[in-house]
Amino acid sequence: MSLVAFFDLVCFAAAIAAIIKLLGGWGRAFRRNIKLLLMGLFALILFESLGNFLEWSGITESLDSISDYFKVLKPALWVFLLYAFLREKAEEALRESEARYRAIFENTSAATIIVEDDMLLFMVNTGFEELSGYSKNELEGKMKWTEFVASSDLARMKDYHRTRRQQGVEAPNEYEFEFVDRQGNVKQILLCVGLIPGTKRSVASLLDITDRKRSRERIEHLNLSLRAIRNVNQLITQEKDRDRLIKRACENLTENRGYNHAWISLLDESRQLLTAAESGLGEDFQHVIELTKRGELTRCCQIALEQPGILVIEEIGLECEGCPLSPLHTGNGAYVTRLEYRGKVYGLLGVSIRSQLTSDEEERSLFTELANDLAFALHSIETEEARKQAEETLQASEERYRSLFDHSINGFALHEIVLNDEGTPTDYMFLDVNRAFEELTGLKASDIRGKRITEVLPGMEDSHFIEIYGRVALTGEPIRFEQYSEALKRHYDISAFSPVRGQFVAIFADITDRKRSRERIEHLNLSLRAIRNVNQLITQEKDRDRLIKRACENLTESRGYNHAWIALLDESRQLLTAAESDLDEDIQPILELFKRGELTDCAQAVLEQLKIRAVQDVRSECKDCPLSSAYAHGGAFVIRLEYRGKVYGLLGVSIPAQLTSDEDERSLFMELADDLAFALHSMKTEEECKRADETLRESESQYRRLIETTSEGYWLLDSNRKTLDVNQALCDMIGYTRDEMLGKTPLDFVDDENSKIFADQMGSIETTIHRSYEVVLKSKTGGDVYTRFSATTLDGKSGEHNGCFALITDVTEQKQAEEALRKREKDYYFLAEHISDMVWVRDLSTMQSLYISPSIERLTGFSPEEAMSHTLEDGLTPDSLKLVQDVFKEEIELESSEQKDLHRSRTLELEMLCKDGGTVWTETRVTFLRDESDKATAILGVSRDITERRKVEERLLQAQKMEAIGRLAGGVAHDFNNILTAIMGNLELLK
Amino acid sequence: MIQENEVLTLLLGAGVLIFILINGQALKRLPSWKTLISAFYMLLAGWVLTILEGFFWGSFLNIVEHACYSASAVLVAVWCWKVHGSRKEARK
Repeated sequence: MSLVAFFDLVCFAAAIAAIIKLLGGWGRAFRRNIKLLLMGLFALILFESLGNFLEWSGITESLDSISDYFKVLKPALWVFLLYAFLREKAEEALRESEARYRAIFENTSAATIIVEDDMLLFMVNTGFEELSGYSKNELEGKMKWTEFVASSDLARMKDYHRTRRQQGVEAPNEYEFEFVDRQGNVKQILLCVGLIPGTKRSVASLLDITDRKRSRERIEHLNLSLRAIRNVNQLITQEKDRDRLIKRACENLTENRGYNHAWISLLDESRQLLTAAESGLGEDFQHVIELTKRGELTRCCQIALEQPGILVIEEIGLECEGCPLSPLHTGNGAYVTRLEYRGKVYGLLGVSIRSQLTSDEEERSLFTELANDLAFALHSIETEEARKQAEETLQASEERYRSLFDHSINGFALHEIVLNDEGTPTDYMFLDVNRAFEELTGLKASDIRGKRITEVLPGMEDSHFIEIYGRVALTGEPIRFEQYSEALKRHYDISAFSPVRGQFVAIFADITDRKRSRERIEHLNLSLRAIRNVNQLITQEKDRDRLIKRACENLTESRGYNHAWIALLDESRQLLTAAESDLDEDIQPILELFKRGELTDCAQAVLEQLKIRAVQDVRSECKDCPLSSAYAHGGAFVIRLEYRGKVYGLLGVSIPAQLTSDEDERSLFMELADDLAFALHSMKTEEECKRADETLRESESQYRRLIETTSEGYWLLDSNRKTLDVNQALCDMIGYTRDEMLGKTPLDFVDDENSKIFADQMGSIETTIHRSYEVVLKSKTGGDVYTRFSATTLDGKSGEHNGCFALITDVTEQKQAEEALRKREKDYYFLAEHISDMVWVRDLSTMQSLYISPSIERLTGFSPEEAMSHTLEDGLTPDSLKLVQDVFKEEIELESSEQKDLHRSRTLELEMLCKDGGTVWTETRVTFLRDESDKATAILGVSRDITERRKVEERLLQAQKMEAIGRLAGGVAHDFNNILTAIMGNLELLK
Repeated sequence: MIQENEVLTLLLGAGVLIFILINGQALKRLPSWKTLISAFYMLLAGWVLTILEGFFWGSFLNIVEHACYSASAVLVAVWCWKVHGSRKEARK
């Protein structure tokens, strides 16, 4: 067998083996098409091997030739086979990939969804189930993803969704939004989204980053807090002013947004507000400050002050209802803690912070650290201030003591004692002195330093000072004594002590003023005692002469003053009386001068110009004064005794010269003079009061008699209008007795009509002081008594109404006469109006008509009104007018004569003009009307129509003209006489 | 002497070779891909030698040609066994 055959057999065997293998595991390996291809390939190999075998074995070559053609199929089979393998591998890889991605999709921790174009959820994984709270069955194909998006983000996300489909990559593939789950919880989600290629679907991965965001925010906030603390710590090291420190600390805490608001209140130990600062709170913090000032701390402040550590408020809006700051902190929490260092509480620190950060331990720890740092800073500032203050106090104290030494009023001198050979002090040397020593002794330090006392003050060898100071310097025993320096005229209090053996320090204090003050106070006490005695005297003594005498004695007996005198003068400065003490006969010369009206210079000065005259040395200043010899070497005070501008006299005292310039002494003396003047004034006033009282009593008695004896009634009413008093005249007037009228009101004595008059008048009793009115009183018998009241209101001391009194006049008879007169006047008027004769009256001075009776109309045709406007010329013919004027002239001339007849009259025949143009003859009788003094004021005329009579007379004259003239004249005279008689009668009636 | 079918087969085989070269990376994902590809290369070598034996060393090249065919068949059979076995393993 050839090699070729062998190889063919191997091929054959391999093909057989492979076919068997394929057929044996047909169901397990490869896909069917691959298996068929493989089977085809092996069958071809088998056929080719078989053909070769048959060929070389020489059985047949037909198969070999056929196989040659089949060979061509081999590459094709390989291609198909390899392609089938590739396809299978690709599908397998795809399946694996799909399975892998599905596994990833299902098992990834991130929620993943596949969303349809219409936003419907196509597929969701377990993560999304957990995220949303819904099951797959509830989600897939039933819910839209928009249902899980917070409303604030929905529009944005829809826009992304739409943009992504329209413009592809331009929409962001990764962004954050707020996701709302089934329970309504809002979660912060990071979304990664992309379109699935070749589809309208998009796949989105949702990562819940809520915790991550919170962590990030927390870290950011911690960083901000740390920065704030760092800034505050820097501030603490730089700032030394407390107020600026807390203000800038608050600003630092808020300016980098570490805290939303910050405030610091510093309190004293009684929890009263010292100062406060805030940042970010503005005016709202003022309410908290006001509360703290009133001691009304907010609840959180009270708790924070009571307990150490931080008071954590997780939600201010819920936990701090009523706090003035709560409206600002809605949604925020707060930390409040006390600023405490080494047990001392300096105040409170408060910040507002997001609620979710309040429970953070690190945040609290940082805040605690911050509060501790601030408390330490406040402690440091306080310590520093205390140290500075102590330093300043110490410095001031040191300066004060240095100044005290330099400016001490006590003289300071350091000496060294000088001994002789026997060790006995013989002198001492000045080592050092201060400025006060120079001033006190007049010795200059530069002149005496290093010199001995015997050199400085010769003669001191014999003084006992060397012995005294030598004992101090040698024994070390201090000594203190007072010494008067004749040379310096001053008193000294000297203290000496020995700082080292052989030396001594002498301290000089000038006590001159103190001694003088003591003397002055002692004298003032004496003066005060004298004044007190005089004041006691003033209250007791009522007799003027005794008063001034005892006052002088009191002023001298207590030794307040050496001598005292008082001279009382009248308004013309004539001496009224005088008193003295310890002057005896020495006072007489000056009193003689006063009696003559010759005042001394000092007396004249105090009376005209000065209130007080102080004379320091009487003998030298008042040489001409008679008292100068009595006052020896003393001074004097002279003062006028004046009260309310009235001068009652002079007071003089002698006093030690050095006290005359003492203001207190003067003041006391002036007070004494005022008291004496007041006492004199009181006495005078009392005397005047007594006199006035007596005068008043006498006057009252006179008025009482007047009222009792007057014919007019007197009626006194109290403020309640009740009768207090009446006189007998009033009782007689209305018939009641005095007792019957007392206690009754005037209304009880009048009828209803007159009651109104009384009521009106009494109503005006407070507004009108004097009133006059008429009232008809009812007498006891019931008759009317016409009275005229003249009433006057009485006022009390303080001006209030205090009753009234009235004087009542009985006018009953007067009333009756007036009534009769009115009746008679009425009758006369009626007569004039109805008489046939015309009655007229003309004013004598103007000749104007005053009255014309109505009968003129019947006489002349003129109405009385028309006739009233006529003059004489208008009513008379020229002849009659001339006659009237002549008669009036005669009568007026006659009127001026003394023998005139007041009741005379003239009868004239006058021709009067009528309205119709005609005339009428009247017989007119005229006479004068007179006033109360009989002076003629008007002309009264009575005119009678005699026209007919004149005609008759003319006819009679014509008939009888032939009869005897004598008979005619006699007859006419008789007739005239009759007429005159009638006119005269009428005139009498008119009067 | 050169036969037309042999030339045609060689050309087709060259096409398959090109296919293999193009999809070489994908074919690498096939299990025991080297065995399978080696089998094809042996077969392709046989087709080349079939052409060459007509020009020189006819006998020798013929033996080599059949050796290549044999090797190719054995390699394919071995690949089948390997792949079948590996699948069983995979299923296990």
